[in-house]
Amino acid sequence: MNGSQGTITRSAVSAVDELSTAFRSLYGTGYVNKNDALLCIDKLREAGGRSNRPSILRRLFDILDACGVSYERGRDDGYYESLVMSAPMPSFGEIEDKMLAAMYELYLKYPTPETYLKRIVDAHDNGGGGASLRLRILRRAVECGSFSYTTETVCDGEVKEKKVTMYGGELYLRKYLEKKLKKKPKKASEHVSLIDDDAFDVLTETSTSSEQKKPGGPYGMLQMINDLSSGQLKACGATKKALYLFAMFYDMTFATSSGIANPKTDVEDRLFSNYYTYDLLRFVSESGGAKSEYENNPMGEGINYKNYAEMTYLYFIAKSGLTAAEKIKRSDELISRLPGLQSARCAEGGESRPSPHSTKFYRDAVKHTDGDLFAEDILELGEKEFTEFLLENYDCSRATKYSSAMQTASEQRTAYREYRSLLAGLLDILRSGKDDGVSADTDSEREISEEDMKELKRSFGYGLWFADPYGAKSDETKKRLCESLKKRRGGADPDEKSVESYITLLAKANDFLTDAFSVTSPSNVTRASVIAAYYYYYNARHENDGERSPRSFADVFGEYREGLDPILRACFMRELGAKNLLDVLVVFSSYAYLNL
Amino acid sequence: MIIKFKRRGERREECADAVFGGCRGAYSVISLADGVSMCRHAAEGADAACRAATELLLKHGGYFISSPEKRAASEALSHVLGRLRERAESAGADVSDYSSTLSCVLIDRKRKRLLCLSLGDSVVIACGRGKCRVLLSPAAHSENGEICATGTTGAENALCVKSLDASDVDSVTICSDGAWRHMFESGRIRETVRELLLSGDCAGLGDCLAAETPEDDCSFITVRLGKENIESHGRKTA
Repeated sequence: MNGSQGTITRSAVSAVDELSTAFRSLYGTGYVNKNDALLCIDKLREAGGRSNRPSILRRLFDILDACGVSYERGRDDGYYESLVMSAPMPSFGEIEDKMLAAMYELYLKYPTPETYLKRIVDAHDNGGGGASLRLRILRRAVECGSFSYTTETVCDGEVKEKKVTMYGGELYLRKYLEKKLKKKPKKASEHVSLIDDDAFDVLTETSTSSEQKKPGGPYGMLQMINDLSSGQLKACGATKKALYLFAMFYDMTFATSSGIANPKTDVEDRLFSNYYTYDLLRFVSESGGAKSEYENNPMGEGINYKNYAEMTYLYFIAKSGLTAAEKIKRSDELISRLPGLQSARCAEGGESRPSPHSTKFYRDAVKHTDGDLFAEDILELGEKEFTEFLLENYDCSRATKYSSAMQTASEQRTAYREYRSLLAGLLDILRSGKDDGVSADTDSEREISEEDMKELKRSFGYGLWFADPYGAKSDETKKRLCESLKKRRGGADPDEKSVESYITLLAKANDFLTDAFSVTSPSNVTRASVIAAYYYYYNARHENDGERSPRSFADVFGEYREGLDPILRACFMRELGAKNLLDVLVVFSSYAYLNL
Repeated sequence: MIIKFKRRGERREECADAVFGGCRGAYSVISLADGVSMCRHAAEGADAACRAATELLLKHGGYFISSPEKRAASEALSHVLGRLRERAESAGADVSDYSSTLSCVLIDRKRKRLLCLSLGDSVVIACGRGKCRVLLSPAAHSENGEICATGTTGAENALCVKSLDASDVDSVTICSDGAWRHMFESGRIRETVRELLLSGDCAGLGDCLAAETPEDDCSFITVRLGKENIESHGRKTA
């Protein structure tokens, strides 16, 4: 047995370990501060000779130990008071500075979404001769063949040929190559090495309209690749579709029930868990900045097993013996045909579309997590049987004429129920100070009114502890952070641009957390919103635990895992992990909230 | 019936795999451990872990099969780690010197239930109704993507566990990484291997693996449900 560990994971985890160490050393120099010690002195006086005196003394000694202050045991209250008053103990502000600086060091080491994508591309083209990531993906896409195909449709009883363009760009690239070659290329795929980064210039030309950059437009493919490679996630399922195509370009895999997931090529692990996650670094990536068609708050969805289009992509990804071009064409063809086939069938039989089964049913059709172990795995069926299964069990329609196939059946009812259950727990704490606990998989659903939501927002919604803790705008934060970093780095100035990006990131994460009470339907609940709700719930539940000894970061992380992981699992969402910066920020924020 | 297969890798001085199995009343247990090659007492650790787990699950089969999955897994691992610690202490070594993967399957024939536990990169496959299903995969079972073993800190968090109805299960097989790497191709089970598993031809599977030239140790252990006697297959074990 030989251990294996991915470089990116290693770097993310080691960054978190270092942060943990940094916070531990803060404890060593006092994340408890003078106020905590003075509070103990007050309590000591109040206690007099009562039985709680030893426990208060113990707490005081812990604080003095943590701050490196030497003391004698068995002395009177006056001795301890004058000791605390005169001892050099760190102020609250100093601790804040140190924590922010430690978080910044973590941020610098975190992998961006592009890093995850690059790893997959690197494994395929061995570094791509130093070409940019987007160029390497474009070259691979061209190698894979055409993004248009001809299909047959029946119109008024007549069979007609119809040209379908999944992503436009072929014509443009042929002309681009024609200029380079000074003659018409027979096949673009034979000249991929002549395509260079200038091919993308057309996207930024003022004469190029946004219509031309849409998937069917003449630059659709270039735009899709440009977005994907720079971590710009588009809304309405466009990113998911691009990810499935990317998976086919690079021969990625998806294990059926009788197979083993290859962690290096597994779609779910490499694309959905790593790349398309709620990655805050997207906000400060190369070409960040949200426009209307991009996800404002990245959804970070996993695979939606209830969606017929996603199942079709997975079916062809898992299928062996097909080239990338065949997989791309056949999946797109089937996805296009299914709504019509289902409509015709329903019209013939006078039936309505199949009513949705539970999420478990759809997951079991592929994953067999809890259901009949030997039931048919739909990804192992022949194409005809697979199509039949989809028609019989999936809603293959589109919500509106303009919505994409990827948006069908996108409600997350279980996740919405868990989210509301957390809010109900928060309301209980708020109104009665009572907490009966929140557990996953409860069937009961409490009504949360609009008024309740407003009340929660008023009482909580304070956001991330780290964002703008000085109560000033970013200039002040930046100045203080730079000073703190300079001290930490032995006088060396930090990179101002990175510090700015870091502050932007904290502000964006903070915006998201302050907006945690705005999810109003099963369609817009996300993993991040469940985590945000848990964040407030956890803080509210533990903020009066002052008498207990201070929690270490490991304690908080452990308690989060214990409380939040079962909820995330019930929602079929990824568990808490050090690989996701939002997860780490939220846990550290709780840690700071409870300890400072 | 329990069939064991163990073959030493060509470049290895000793085989660091251990396979154990036993039956007691309605309960059968199979276990496989693969010693971490860089550890000083890998083979000894694998052997001890396998023995401890098999004995415990056989002795308290009813308790483990009816306990909640997580608790069962955690208590079984804690017992195994206790045994390894005792051994390490008496030898003046560290428990991490005895690191190995560990996978076990407990079968309750009466209640038709299966409990599978796995720490590390072995694979557990169930066969029945003409199909093979992977019950536990060799995923990276830890926070940081590292394959966990018995000597890894926080191993209990990385332990995978699955409890399921065994009504339609004909056989269950645990395969070490050296074995499953030759049984699967591009993440899919090879057709010849599927046929051998479904037909219960473990001798054939052993021959098939022996025909390959794995550098790693290569072992598997199979239990066929419905038959209670243990039969050690006549493969040459290294």
